[in-house]
Amino acid sequence: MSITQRVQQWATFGRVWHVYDCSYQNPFDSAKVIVKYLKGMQKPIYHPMNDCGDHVVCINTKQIALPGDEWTKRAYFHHTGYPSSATWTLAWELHSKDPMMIMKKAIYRSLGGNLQRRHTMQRLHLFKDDKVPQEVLDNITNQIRQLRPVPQRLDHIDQEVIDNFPKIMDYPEDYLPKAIK
Amino acid sequence: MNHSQFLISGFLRPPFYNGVGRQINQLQRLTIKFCKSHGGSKGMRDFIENHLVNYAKENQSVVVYVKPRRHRSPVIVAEYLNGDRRWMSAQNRNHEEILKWLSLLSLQAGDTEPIRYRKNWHTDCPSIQGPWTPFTHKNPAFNNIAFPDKELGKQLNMPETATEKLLRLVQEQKNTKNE
Amino acid sequence: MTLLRIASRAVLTLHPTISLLNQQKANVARWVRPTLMEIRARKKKLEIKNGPQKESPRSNFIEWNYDAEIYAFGIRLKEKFNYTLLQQAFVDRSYIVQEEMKQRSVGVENPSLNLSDNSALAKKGEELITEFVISFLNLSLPKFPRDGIKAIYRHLVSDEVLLKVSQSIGTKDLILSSNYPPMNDVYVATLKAIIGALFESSGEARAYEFIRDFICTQLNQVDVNELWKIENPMELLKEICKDKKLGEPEPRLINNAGQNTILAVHYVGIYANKKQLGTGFGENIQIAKEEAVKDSLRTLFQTNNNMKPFNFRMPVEKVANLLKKPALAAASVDNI
Repeated sequence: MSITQRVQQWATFGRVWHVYDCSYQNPFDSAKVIVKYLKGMQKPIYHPMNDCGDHVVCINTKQIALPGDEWTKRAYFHHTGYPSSATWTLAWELHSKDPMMIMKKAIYRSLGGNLQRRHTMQRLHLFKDDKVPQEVLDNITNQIRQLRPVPQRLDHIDQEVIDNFPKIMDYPEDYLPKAIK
Repeated sequence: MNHSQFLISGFLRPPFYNGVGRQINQLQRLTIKFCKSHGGSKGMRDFIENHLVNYAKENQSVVVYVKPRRHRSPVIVAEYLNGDRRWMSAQNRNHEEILKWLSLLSLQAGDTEPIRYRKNWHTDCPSIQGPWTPFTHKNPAFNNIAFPDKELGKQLNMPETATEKLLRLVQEQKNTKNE
Repeated sequence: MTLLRIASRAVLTLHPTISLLNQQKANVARWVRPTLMEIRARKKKLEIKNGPQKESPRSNFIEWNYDAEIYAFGIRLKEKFNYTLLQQAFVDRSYIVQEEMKQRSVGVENPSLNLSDNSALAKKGEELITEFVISFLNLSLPKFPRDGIKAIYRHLVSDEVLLKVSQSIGTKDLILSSNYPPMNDVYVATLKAIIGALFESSGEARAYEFIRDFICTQLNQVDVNELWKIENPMELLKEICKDKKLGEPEPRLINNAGQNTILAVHYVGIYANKKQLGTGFGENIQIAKEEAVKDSLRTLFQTNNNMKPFNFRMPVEKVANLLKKPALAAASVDNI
């Protein structure tokens, strides 16, 4: 094989690093997207027996948004193997203990069961906030789009924009809102 | 798994790029051995009487040797350009059958094991547009972006929100008033 | 030894018939295995004693007709040969010497064989090959530099390639030489002599077609750029860019992936006057740069991977016309 052919192969199977911002994202929906990149399914050369998966760096995992009442209703089961050591940890509790764990478990679960799963997980890099080491940032050359919009907080909007927002009427100065019972 | 139950797979490999320049018949020699008296050679004797001259005329690139032997079963030996030698018993075969076998032998490229072709064609240069790489069709603008980027990470194709609609309507109203 | 071979063949050929008879259970008779083992052991013993078994020449068989073989050889190649010339093409000098020695050993004082060897024909064939291949390459690769054409030519007329060609058209059994199987250089000389004989019998055009069909086709699916090792590609590119007034070539990093990992990929492009000449990949920037330079050269030479394949059905008159222009022909042939 000539050098040209060798580097061609090297480039075709080169591993790209993607970044995904988890803030205000549903971890279970996001996991389905991230898994595709981890397995390399977005590539035309994909084949299940082809080792062509990419790296994904997930940032801001602390900011994930669980749908509905999942924070209080979703329970994570763990068993150490000793008798009567089964534990059920609620999502909010797990998240306060380790802010990366919910995202990690969501991705691990959606990878499906096969022997490659643990190797594929090695290509996932989770960070609870946006403080990513520079050597990791240097590798990143692509970004995965978020699935839902990040809501804007009122206190983050410029005062000018708020003042100029179209209004039908202004409350009179002596207006008293109805007391909340 | 019992490997002998399956055909070995492979790619089409004509000897010496046969047919790229010109087609060479790969069968170079044919030896027909038979007995003049035994019943097993009856078909072979019929073949020699009826078809052999014709066969030799049609396949002039094949040297045909006929070798009578006493009290031995009839045999066809085909020798190919790649050095292969295929031995075949023609015991009790009739002359039509022998003709069919010979036409098969003269079309083959050697004493090759039958293989299952993975593809019916083969090329060492499979792609004209070049193999895919992660950089194919990649936007060069990404080179100047510091990741993570707010705009690049935004979701696409979202429906218009109520706020956006309100702002748009107000803007339209303003525009019509100005006109 | 021969007896042993026949014995083992008999066992081997008998054995499928045995299994065919009992199709219900594919049993092999009890005697087959020990017999084969015994034959194998005896064969091995003989081989240890006498060295590996020598291949016996096909011409020693009873069923052998040299005239018919020579006739079929011509037909197989779809050529009309002069019989004497073709026969001469197969005679190696060593065969004549050997035969003369044989005659002397039985007391003939002035041995004469009425045979002449193929060296004259081989010389003619070599000339034909040189002029045709060079012109063919010049026509097929008009933008390729002369040094490159030389390198491809050297590959095409190298002993390995010609040996392969010679063997695959079936010269092995026909060559008259003191050794069997013949030595490699005898194969090569015979091929050249066959071309010489074809020239003498059917004329120049047929000889050229033979060279085109059997020697030039060895370039099929071969990357011609690999046949020419350029010592300093960047210098060459700079020179070419200067000649063509393309501007100074400069490498630029276009893309990379995972640059801090051991699986880093770098993608470098060569630009001249803000125009891309070529691109290349590499595990480090140095290799990517070299590959990009090579790719730019390939583009300039029009020998990219997706180049139009060689036309192996190119009319030989086209090549012959090129050879008729004396200045061009001399320039192309003398340089080799």
